[in-house]
Amino acid sequence: MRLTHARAGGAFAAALLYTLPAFAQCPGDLDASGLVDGADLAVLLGAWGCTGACPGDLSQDSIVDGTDLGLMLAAWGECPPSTPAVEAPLAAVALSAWPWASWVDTYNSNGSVGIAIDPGQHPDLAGRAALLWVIEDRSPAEWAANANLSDARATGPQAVTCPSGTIQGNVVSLNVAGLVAGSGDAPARGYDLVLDVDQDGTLSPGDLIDGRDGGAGFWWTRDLAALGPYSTATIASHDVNDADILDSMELERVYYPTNAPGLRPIVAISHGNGHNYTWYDYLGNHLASWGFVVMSHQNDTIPGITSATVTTVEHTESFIDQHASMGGGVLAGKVDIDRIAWIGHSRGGESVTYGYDRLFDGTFTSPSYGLADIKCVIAIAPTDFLGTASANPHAVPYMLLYGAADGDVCGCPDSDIADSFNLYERATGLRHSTYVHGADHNDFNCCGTNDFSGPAGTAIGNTLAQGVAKASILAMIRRSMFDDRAMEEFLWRQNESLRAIGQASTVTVVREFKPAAGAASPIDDFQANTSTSVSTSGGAVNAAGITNLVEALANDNNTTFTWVTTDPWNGSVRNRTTDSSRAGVFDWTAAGSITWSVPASLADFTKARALSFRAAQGTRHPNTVAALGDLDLTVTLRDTNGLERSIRIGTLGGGIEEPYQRSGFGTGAVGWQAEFETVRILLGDLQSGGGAFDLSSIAMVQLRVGGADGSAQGRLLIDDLILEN
Amino acid sequence: MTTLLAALALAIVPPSIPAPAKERAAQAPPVQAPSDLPPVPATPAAPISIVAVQPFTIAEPYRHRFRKDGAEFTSGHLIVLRAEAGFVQPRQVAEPVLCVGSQTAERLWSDPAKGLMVAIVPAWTERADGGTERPGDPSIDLVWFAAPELPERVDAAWIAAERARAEAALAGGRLSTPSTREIVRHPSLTTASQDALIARASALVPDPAAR
Repeated sequence: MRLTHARAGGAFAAALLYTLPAFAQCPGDLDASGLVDGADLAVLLGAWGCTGACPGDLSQDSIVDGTDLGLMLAAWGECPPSTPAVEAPLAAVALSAWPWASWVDTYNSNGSVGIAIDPGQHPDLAGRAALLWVIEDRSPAEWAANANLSDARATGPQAVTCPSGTIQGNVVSLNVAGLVAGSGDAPARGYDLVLDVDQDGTLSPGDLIDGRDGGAGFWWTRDLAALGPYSTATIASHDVNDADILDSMELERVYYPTNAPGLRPIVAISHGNGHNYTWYDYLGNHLASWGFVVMSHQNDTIPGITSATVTTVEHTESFIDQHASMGGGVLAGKVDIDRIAWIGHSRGGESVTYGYDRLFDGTFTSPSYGLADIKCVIAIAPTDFLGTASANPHAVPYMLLYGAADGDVCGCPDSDIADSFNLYERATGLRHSTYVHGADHNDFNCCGTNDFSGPAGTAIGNTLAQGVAKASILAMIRRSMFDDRAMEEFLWRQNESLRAIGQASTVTVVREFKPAAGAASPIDDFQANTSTSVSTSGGAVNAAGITNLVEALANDNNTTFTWVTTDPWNGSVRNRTTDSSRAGVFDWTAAGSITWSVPASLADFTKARALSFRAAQGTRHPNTVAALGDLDLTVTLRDTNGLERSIRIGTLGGGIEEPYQRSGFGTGAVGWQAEFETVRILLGDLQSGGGAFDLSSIAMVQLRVGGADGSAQGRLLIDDLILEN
Repeated sequence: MTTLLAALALAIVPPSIPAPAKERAAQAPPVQAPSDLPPVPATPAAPISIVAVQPFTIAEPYRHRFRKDGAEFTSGHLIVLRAEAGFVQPRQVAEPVLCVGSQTAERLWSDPAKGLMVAIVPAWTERADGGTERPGDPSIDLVWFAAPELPERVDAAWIAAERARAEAALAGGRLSTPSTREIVRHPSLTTASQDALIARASALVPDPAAR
């Protein structure tokens, strides 16, 4: 029954009845049948004369009497059609400028969750008292089957008064006491939020809900950099004695959870040249504690990538074939051979990539596993010996982890072999990169040579670098292997906005994220319609006030990082001449803009969750050097009625990252390879404040630079202006 | 704002993203920290010295993976070299390929701090002046570091070109031959397999603490 509170205690239930149903649409329907009829009358008459908190007290005057009977008779018959509860974002972080809040979903459990009830979008609620419920995440079907609210907190639902005026300054804190983060293997636990406007303890017409229509209202997340829920053990060394592997390359080390239920996915680690399979204990133990069985193997890297790839693919096969007998059978019946992630470091990073390419091409086949079993490939500072055709991730979810102070696979302009991002650019599936300032090549293992190459005093060392690695790798594997949406924000939100609890705040991390091709609609990814005046999607592109706009293969064309006008892609060591990743670049010293007309086929932005693009500051360009810092600009959307919404990207967490101040390969100014960073604007945020702005009919997207719109000067590489579905 | 909150919530600051930091004016480039990773030296270049040589035979052949056209072999030489750290240091990008006569060597083990490297040189033949052939010998044939490359990608033509480059440098005084003053010639070794060979190779390292 709607008027009885299913879960709340008696005192609360009693109080609740007095705050009822000013908003209820069918107040006489005491049994929630959709009719006000004899059954309801029986309930009312049964409570006749009752005082206090009584069913049937429709007038809320603490007595069931003739007044209530009159109200019931007036409502006799079918209830009016009800308006369903409205899906509306509630969980949010506060921003320092418009839109004043960003309705993101992922929150660290050492912090808090903001609640932003936008009076602009919900003017009917302004000043209204309501109850805020936190409910364990339910699917749409579960909500349809059960609309009763049950708060996950011991304190029960939280009384709030919806703000009036604007959302600015009105993001308040959710009471998170008693909420549990994580759920089994999953680092995050999902909760739905309900603003129970009629305070009836059910999800009912007029209420707002965040999380009914898919996903959770918010994710309450454990520390991704800390050990997970399981105890771990290690098989220190296992000799696979496989005829397909060289005798001297047959050893594996295995890390596994000892108390995890069910079948556990496989993670295989392929080390780099001069490295050792025992050097990744930090990663093996970490992932095992989160439920993965991790196998690190000897990798035949010295002859080259082809040799190393043989050890990668053959050790994977041997592990699958032999795991049941390893370590006295501790893994028997506990390994999920259909879920495999490959992680490789340096030459091993290329070998896992080439391994996937060989499965893709069919030049390697195994009776034990196939292409579909490889759910994710992660390359840590990979080499690119094999080039476009072979060092190619194709559409597998692909992550690149890279230290900006890498003195080995250095990202240098004089050799394609040392340019890790070539591989990243070739990936056509979901892809993510984590670029860590102050980390060198061997900070991602225990024991390699100190190859740090960067400004004195900026080295972060193994512990901090590995903290970033543990968190980002876990997030990527969870996202790609289990479609764990709670992890996705760790892959795209600016580091200033979200990072793992245990990740040092002093470490600068630059993130790129792009969904798989099927989950994105490009407005302009620069791959087709190669004129600077036409976008990929066929719309007109107009530049005003900016200079030196170029659209081409984003490939640094000489052997230095010194800025020269003949190399507009200076610093973009992300392509060989045989690659195909194109981008745009321009600069400014005064106010200017680029405007993309949106074709009608893409104009309905309500179909998308986010508008995103990636950008990097121009290496050692005079405009970059003149004003060191994160580069800010404004993104503006205009609807077909001419109404605009604009957001400064710096508001989302710092803008386009200031380049790491590394020297070499040139003279004068310093700076290193292009640090592309994804800017992802949640389109719902642009509805902040309400109004007539029509997100379903967008006419143009504009980047505004200089003047009042951001950094006074700059040079920007830009790519992948897309709608994410 | 008129928000009633649970008492506990009042003490909690809602999450927020800080305002972006201000840009700063151009300044002197920061001082760079030196890397412990030695740069790749120029090639062709010779090792400093050959420390030890030991002929071997193995019962179970295996393929020479350190050249594209490598064949299976059952004999050759173990050699121990002393070289500049830049040649000995393992790295991810291409390393100078160690060549002996017209053969490539398989790097087994290295210690950059001591400048030591142990390698396997599978048997090969050298063509003498009269057109006759003789077995190659690391203690008399040219030992040098050729251009950086992945050994699995080099073939006879590549080795020949690099050798010509080395011999020209030698003739021009730009390349020396490694010292053999401290060389130890061990008696021939017979083992069953590659694993056994590798295990025995470590015994050649002159400083046991460095193994």
